Amino acid sequence: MARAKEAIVFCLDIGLGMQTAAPGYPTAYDSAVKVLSMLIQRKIFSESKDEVALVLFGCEETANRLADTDDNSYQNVSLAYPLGNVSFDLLEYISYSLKPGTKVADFLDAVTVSLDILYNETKSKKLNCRRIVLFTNFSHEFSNDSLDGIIGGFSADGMDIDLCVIGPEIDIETIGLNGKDETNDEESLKDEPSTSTSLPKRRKLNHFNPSIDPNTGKPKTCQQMAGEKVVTKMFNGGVNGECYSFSQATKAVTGFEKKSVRSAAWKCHLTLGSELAIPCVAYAKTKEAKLKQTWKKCHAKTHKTADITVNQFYHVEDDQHTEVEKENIGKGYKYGKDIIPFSSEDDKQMKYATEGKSLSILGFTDIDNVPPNLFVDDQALFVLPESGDNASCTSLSAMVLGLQKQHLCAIACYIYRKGTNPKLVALIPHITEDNICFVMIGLPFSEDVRTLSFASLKDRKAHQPSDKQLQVMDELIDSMDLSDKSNSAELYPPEHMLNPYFQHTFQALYRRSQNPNAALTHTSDNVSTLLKPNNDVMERSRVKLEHVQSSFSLQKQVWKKDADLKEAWKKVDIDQADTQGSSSISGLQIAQISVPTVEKVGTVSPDSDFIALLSNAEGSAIEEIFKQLQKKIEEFLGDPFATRLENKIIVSLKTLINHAQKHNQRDNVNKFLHQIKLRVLKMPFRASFVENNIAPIDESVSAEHFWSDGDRAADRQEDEEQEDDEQGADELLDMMD
Amino acid sequence: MTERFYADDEGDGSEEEETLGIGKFGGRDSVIFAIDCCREMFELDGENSEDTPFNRIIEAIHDMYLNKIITSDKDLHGIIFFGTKKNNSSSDFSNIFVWQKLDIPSVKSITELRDMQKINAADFDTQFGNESRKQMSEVFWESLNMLSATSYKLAAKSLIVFTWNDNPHFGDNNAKKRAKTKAQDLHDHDVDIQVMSFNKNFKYEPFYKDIISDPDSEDPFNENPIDCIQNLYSFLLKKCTKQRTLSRIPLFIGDDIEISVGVYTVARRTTKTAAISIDSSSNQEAKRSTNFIDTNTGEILLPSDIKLMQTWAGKEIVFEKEEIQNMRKIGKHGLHVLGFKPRSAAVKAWYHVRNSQFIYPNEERVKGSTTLFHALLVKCLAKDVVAICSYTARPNSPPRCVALLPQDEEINPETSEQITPPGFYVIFLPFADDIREVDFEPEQPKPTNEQIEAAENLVRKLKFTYNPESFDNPAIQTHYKNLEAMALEKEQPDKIDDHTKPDTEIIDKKAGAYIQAFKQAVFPPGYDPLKKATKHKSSSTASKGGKKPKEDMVDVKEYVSQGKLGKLTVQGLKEICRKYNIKGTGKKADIIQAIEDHFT
Repeated sequence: MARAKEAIVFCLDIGLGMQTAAPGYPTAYDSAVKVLSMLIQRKIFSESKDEVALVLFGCEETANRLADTDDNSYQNVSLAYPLGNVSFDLLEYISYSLKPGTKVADFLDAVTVSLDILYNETKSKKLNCRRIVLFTNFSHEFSNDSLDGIIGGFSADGMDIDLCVIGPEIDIETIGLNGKDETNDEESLKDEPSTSTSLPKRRKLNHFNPSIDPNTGKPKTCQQMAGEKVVTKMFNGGVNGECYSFSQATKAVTGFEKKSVRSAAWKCHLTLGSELAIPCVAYAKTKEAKLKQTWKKCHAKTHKTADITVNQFYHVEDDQHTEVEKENIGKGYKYGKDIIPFSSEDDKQMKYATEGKSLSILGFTDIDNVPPNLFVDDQALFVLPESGDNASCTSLSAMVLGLQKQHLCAIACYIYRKGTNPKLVALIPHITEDNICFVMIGLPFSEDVRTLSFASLKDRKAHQPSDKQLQVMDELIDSMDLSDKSNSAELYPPEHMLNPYFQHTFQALYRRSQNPNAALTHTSDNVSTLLKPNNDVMERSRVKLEHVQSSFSLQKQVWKKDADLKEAWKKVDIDQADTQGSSSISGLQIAQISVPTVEKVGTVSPDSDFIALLSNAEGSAIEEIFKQLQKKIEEFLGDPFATRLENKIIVSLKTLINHAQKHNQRDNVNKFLHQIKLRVLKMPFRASFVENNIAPIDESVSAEHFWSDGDRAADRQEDEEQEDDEQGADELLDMMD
Repeated sequence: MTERFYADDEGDGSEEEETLGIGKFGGRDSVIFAIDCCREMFELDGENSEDTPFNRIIEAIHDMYLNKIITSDKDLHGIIFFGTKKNNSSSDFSNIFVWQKLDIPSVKSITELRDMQKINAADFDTQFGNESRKQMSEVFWESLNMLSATSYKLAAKSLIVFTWNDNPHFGDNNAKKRAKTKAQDLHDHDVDIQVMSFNKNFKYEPFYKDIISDPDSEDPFNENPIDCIQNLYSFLLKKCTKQRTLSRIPLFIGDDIEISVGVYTVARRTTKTAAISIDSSSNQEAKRSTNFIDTNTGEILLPSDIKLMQTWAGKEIVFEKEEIQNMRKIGKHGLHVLGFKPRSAAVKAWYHVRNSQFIYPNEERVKGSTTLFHALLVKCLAKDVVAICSYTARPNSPPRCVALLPQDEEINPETSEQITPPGFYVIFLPFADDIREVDFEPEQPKPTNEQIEAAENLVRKLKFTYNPESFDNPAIQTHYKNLEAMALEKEQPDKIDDHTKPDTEIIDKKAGAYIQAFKQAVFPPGYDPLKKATKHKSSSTASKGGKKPKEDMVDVKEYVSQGKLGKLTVQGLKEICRKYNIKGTGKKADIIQAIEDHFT
């Protein structure tokens, strides 16, 4: 579906009245320019095809078509940028070249000029929407003699032109504005949806004293109030549009863009059994936005993408990395350990076939069975009745309301189009003041769900909060309330929060485009504050935060970055002498070491366990103890961190050898050394073994000789095991990727 | 231009998280099953007279392997029989037979399990023999040997013992002691030991209480083995799928209060494992490598010779790779509580943009985290509020706004199994950028109370309890059945149970009358929803007929001669190219040129 295209005339007041402000407040001019450049920036980075024009008023010069024919009117209104696609030039002009004006001008003149541009330039164009965006604080004189004519001009010739005013807070009572407010509290309406009527909406944009302009901190002048009255009159006279204050810049931006991002319609029949089919259409309502472009690789010197050729080749994982010709490449799947050759033909023939798009209800379930934590995929869709079909509308609405009353939702199977895999979706009743529809969201299959189980918090006595702790937490939560209260609007409303990452990227792109060689500076304030704690909330909750902090005992542990518990264990284990670290881990060690009676050769200090055990042992028990230490040594050698255990292995081996004679275990130990020889040779231990003179007892071989003559045998074994090793290494690489 | 709903190739952000997660424990999960092969295991018990305990265990393991191949085919499993006459253990222990070595599931191991499923005592005796003497210490010892012999790096290690007798070393204190020592050895190596039995009179006290893993550990399963075993398959799956921490992150309230929490995946789309390339001559895996070559000089380019760029409004904007990574660094790593909102206002179904996650406190980085977390959970539940946070999952990931949705622990009163764990779900909230405008018809007719009642009567008839566990993904199951059939050279892949296909017969039977009543209530006489749509469709194609050449291809020559090609869509032009074998690529103008060249 083609994206909606708009024509917009930005009509910016740069006159003298825009340039005053109370100390500490930005001037209206500065605020207006900031919002305008943000709008244009986002237009560029959304690859918008919209056409825009910039009309300035209050400037020195006069340049507009109407003034050409009438020398006395439309003075100091100038077309600075003719209707065309947005460009960096325009952005640059606004950011750098634009200077505050030196004159004053009638805002209604400027609006008339803008209307004229839209008429002349867009008459024959196919556009979804035409719009005038007026930036002014109404501090200049105007004449409203021809106001009725102007109001008529907004809808003359079948052209429907919207007016958007970005200025001081305006207190307007309007009737039948076309604003659809998605944020209306649904909860309160759910019970009696049919009684809701469209009451005149009071568009109040601020909750402050309306006679003070909160943007500039100055009281509004009579002039300004008169200006606002005219705008009110225009809206009441049938002009469509909205008002935003400078301080609601982000709201203005989002209010703007909503119209330009539309979803493609997916038409289908909602079916139940073989008999019921309701024509419906689905639109994505929420979908995680991505940057419009991906990053392309280019040559660092020439900055040309064509100067890089991507070369892909295949090779088998053997010693030579033998390359495989592309024509010899086949397709296969891993089935556990095995590779199953599987051609694309096989795939096509055997794959699960779906017949065509469908949305078929499988049954209905309690709404509590589909909590939001189960939702998968990255979007939520609205399922609406097919437009213009009253029967479809009645049946779908009746179904939605019936489910709502029964506290149910539908579980359905969704097939996007022929050949795509079926998905399970929930159809959840969605009822607002004006609309009744389903929200459609993906549900997981059994293969997708991860079972989570954690220790109960209630049973763990050590972690029970006291009544006092609960009390301070209770108070903290109250003090950090963000919801819509009588004295302030809801904070962090998703509908009006811009993604700081996008803003940041746009800024970086813009700066780099302006100055390709300058280093990027860090995040600007307006990006980093988007998701920062709100100052008022923090101030309000400061005392409670302190209470919480003093009521709970929180100790940060010395924690080496990225080291996991087991590694920490091993470290402590190795340098067991070093028990100075005050961490809980070493504490655990001390407790273990100081166990008075040794029952077996452990991992922590096998050599001293061994000696302790031997001191009391007799007969066959001695052999068992020797076996135990040998087993330990074997374990150490088999440990994935064997190299770290080198010391421990050597100490254990030495202890073993030293005690062998005395306990008549010489042959046993010698046999053991021969046994582990092959394994040792595969590890980087040889040098230290030789150095420590570890060798079979009374066999006339030196340590050096003993740990080397098996090279060939080792080689052979290595060949056999290489495959496995490489698999292991691969695995490790995969994890590091 | 066209938007795809639920497109199959959706970018999966969480995958990235799992591989890049900070503080992730590397290595594979491993489980060893040790199965007692005593007489009782081959006898039918009263209630469940179809299968013997041994058969049920093998069947459950078999089913679990099949699941594992789909969900986590890297995990290692091994199976030991004990109480056999034959032995093949690495340390010459008698009465222990290592039936399947510790490895990832393979066609062979699955076939073996399938063949073993229906075995009876006599056949088993022939193959493995039966011996009532056994040393539990040796079973533990052998398990440890298997775990330490593997060349893979292991993360979680478990031993699951299926036995009958709850006091195998009755009267032999030495044997008891040895078993205890060996079990302790396993614990020292972070091996989790579970013991279960089909024996109704099985008690832990006589012997196994000293063997099984610390009942105070964070593992909620420690009692009621019989109850757990009722659904052995799902129990095993739970036991053998270790919940991996995606990351451990700090959670801040204000500037100074910091606790530590682990982040876990709740659900993630399982896709077919990606196809691999193979060398057709040897059926060996062929790895794909990519290098970048300077087009002009033919030299291989180093990473530093490559920059990244995007073109906006005609300007080419170039960055270093590092700069792009840095653009993502905006917030401070972790969860930062911004404040609280009522649950119903902050979490709405249509806000959904991303799979949720789960957080649970951990004491290792900040002592006392659990107590504060617990207090926060209790109070959020009581007040029915959610915490609104900014969430930077990794130091270099862009921040998102999330709601922490409190979840109380739920226990199944009958089996005392945990249904949901206590903690917070991390629900991702959309930004304004993610929300779109959907136009509604201005004047929608409102249904009458009778019509709504008709709907209510209808939906009441078709109620069921939804549980994600009861829906397998038919596409994935088909894929794996196909692979299985190819691997085992079966003639036909096994049929799958497809629960995504609505059972229209049953629906019609159960609710047919109500569906008719509903239709009569909402549809005007003579209304045919299907007919209308097709009519609508054909009329729309008729109006656009000139633009979309369908089966009866428009007279291309006429279009060319009249210079009307521009009126066709790119898709239409490409169709022409295909039909006449014209090489038409690139922009629309290029394709038109190519077609014109072809016909003139």
